Amino acid sequence: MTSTELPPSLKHFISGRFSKESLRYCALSDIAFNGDFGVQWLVATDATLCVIAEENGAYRVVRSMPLSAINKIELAPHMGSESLEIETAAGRVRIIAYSNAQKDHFAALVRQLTAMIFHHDGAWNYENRPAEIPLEINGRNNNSRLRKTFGRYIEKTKILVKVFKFALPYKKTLLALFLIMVAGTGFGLIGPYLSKLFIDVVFKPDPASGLYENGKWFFAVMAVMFVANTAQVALSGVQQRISGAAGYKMLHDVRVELYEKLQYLSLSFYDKQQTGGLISRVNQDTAELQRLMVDFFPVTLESLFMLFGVGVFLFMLSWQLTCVILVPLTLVILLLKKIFPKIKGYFNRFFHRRSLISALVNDTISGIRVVKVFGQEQREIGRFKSNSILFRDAGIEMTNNWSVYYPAFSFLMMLGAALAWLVGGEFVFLKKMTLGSVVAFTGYVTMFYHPAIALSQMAGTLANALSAAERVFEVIDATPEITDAPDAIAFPIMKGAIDMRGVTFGYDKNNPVIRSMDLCIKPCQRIALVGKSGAGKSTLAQLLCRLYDVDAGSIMIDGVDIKKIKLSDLHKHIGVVPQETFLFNGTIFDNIAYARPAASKEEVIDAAKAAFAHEFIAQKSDAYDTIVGERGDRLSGGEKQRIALARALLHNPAILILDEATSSVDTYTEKKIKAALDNTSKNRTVIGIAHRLSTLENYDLLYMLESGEIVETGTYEKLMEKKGRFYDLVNAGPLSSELETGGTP
Amino acid sequence: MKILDPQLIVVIRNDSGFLNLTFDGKTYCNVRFRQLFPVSDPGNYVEIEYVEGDSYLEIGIIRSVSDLEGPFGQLVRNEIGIAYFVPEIRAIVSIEKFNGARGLETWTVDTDKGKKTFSIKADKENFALHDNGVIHVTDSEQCRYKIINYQRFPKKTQEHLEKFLP
Repeated sequence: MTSTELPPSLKHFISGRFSKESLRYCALSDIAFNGDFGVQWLVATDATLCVIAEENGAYRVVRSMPLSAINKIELAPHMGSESLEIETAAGRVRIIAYSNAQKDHFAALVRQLTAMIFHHDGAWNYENRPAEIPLEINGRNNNSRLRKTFGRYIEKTKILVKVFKFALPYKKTLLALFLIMVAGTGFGLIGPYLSKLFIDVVFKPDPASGLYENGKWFFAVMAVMFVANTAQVALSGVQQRISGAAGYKMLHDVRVELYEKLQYLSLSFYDKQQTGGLISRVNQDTAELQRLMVDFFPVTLESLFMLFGVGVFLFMLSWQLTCVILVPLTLVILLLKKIFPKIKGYFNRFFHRRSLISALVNDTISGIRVVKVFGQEQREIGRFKSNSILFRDAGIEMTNNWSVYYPAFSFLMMLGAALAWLVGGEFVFLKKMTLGSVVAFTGYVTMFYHPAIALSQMAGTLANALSAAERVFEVIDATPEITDAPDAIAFPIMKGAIDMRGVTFGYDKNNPVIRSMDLCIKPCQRIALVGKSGAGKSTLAQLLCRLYDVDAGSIMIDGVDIKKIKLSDLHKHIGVVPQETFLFNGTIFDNIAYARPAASKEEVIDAAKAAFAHEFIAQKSDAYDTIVGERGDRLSGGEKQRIALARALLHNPAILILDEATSSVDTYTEKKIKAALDNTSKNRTVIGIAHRLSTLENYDLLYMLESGEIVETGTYEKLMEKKGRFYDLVNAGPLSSELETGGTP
Repeated sequence: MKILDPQLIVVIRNDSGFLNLTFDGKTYCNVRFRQLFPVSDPGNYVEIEYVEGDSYLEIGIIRSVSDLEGPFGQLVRNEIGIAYFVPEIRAIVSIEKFNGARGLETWTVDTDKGKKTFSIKADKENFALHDNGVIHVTDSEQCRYKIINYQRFPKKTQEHLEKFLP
């Protein structure tokens, strides 16, 4: 039973109770009226909204209210639960509460209900409703998003299949490798048999004469032994080269695919990830995967050949003896089966902790200025130490366990050889076997156990590599949420008319940051978004760039939904100057030309001049060839911002989004930036996210945002005259020249 | 961007040792020449500035010094060479470990501006490799040298340099 399907008895109950009304919507809550887990239904007919509780199989209407009494429906999120509340003329009423598990159903119900009550849009009713309330709104769904990104368990065999897919392009090399291995193993098998020949034939004196009659074969057998050994050694060298090269090539493919995926994954993916963790996936986890490709496959294959080939010889020499030595081998296999999952656990912990450390280092080093300014070095050292201790202990634990298992294997193997001598010696005394056969047999036994040990060691490698592969493929298999629609259109020329209709968006879908916002901007208009931090200004800018997709409503540019515009074209026409300027470590030229690497020197100089950056650049001794340092650390804040502006202007965007920096830019720089803005906002639509009063006069129209809604619109003068919210905001702070100093979300 | 026509430019050295520039009939005293791309495109895109008060103002940009009439070009090249003094190391004569101090080396080099011996801390941060293959070497007195195409150096010198390159 899904939570949107009424049990027949309840349907009967409703039709009895509300006989003149027709059933429209319902949703199931998992919390009872007293706050315990329990069952309650929220049911809407075309005239009434009611909550029905189920107690001991009987139904009872807990609360009911005519739809006409509803002024507003709201969802109030709590911790782990949410409640549906209704605004009536008499005040606010809590209708029903439910756990977060049911959130999506209620969110959908509220949307339908709102449409029905306020827009008289009763598109469907209970009888002809869709099979399931559509939980997905514009492709964004919490559950499917989770499934698509992380926390998904991939089966071991599936991972191996995925790894094999990367091996496919190299199938010819791998075939050659296979043949070389077969040949090498074949040569290796000759040795022990020759020792049988030595003992039983060459060095066997004639019983009658006591002379070594077969001595003439000595050099021939020696020669065969020499050739076989040389060939084996040579082939193993060739094999190592080929398998090594193939492994590194495959690894390169995996690494590139992983990095490509990281570039195309949407921002919502990065919101959930720690940067350091992702870096360790690209660098360290792929290196672990390398061991799977370079070590595991060849060694395993070779060992399997060896096992098979040696097994044949063992059987030929004496099947009874073979059965005897199989006993310890069976023990080894049983032991392996038992400990394999355990070892995998150790490895998982080991790698998890390693990635924690790398995330921590990344975080602290990026914020080293903050650490120093607040004198928190000791604390950071302590934090690192405790993480490092965890990592160290995981390593020790892994080694400790391994140090027990490995000797145990060796002991069992040695036991096998001893058994072979014990039983084989008995056979010699009984004249069932020749001495030469027993010597050859024990020789093969060691050869038999050698690959067995190698295979058991591989258990560790495999466990370790698989857990790394799991993390790598989690990323490779993740689907970017924002991609070009199949019918996406090219957009060579953009005028810059923006039309937002009913745009709703939340980083958490049930907790919108932008609420059904309508905003219409004409081409070449200059508008500013003002408001306290958290009002949704920066989010709105991100939606326009389609870094996230809207949950509801639409954003049109020149009359086309941005979801239908090719992403590359969309980004070509929108220039963004972010609040926190990020420069890559390279020259100033590289950073300005970042958006259009093919730009000529003159175009870059022109863009820099327009952004009032040229004059300070020309004063540097290396001018445009000046290296900016990591994140642009060698430049001042104002310089970085003007470079960012030049970068945004370089491709002459139709729409320019300026997220003004609030950091302490001196008045001289501020003047320059203001001049640059004046200079550059001609012939394009400009959306400013204004933080400073002094820049507001650059804009034609101001939009005042509050909790994701537009509360006031007008020119600066009009809004000040109105003495409304904007007026309050301007006069609120102790520094009336600065609206706020909030950060981007 | 204001590109100056090289044909209309006249440069003379004045008595104070600076250069005067006449462009399109107007004369500017004590002008300054700045390469906008000294590493990636030396000699091209040179901004010419004049002094007014205590700041420099732009007269314009010339696309290439070599477009200037012979003697003018030479004057400008000299002037740039003084203000952007980065000798090109043509050969490394010897590298000696400095006694007593760890990591310090004494280099004797042949440059396009003559022979020079300097000490340098053998550390990655004193070597910068640019996209076009130019290496910048900064000695312990903050003098900068450049090496163009170090591959033409003897194998041993190359290996020594490569220790400091990314």
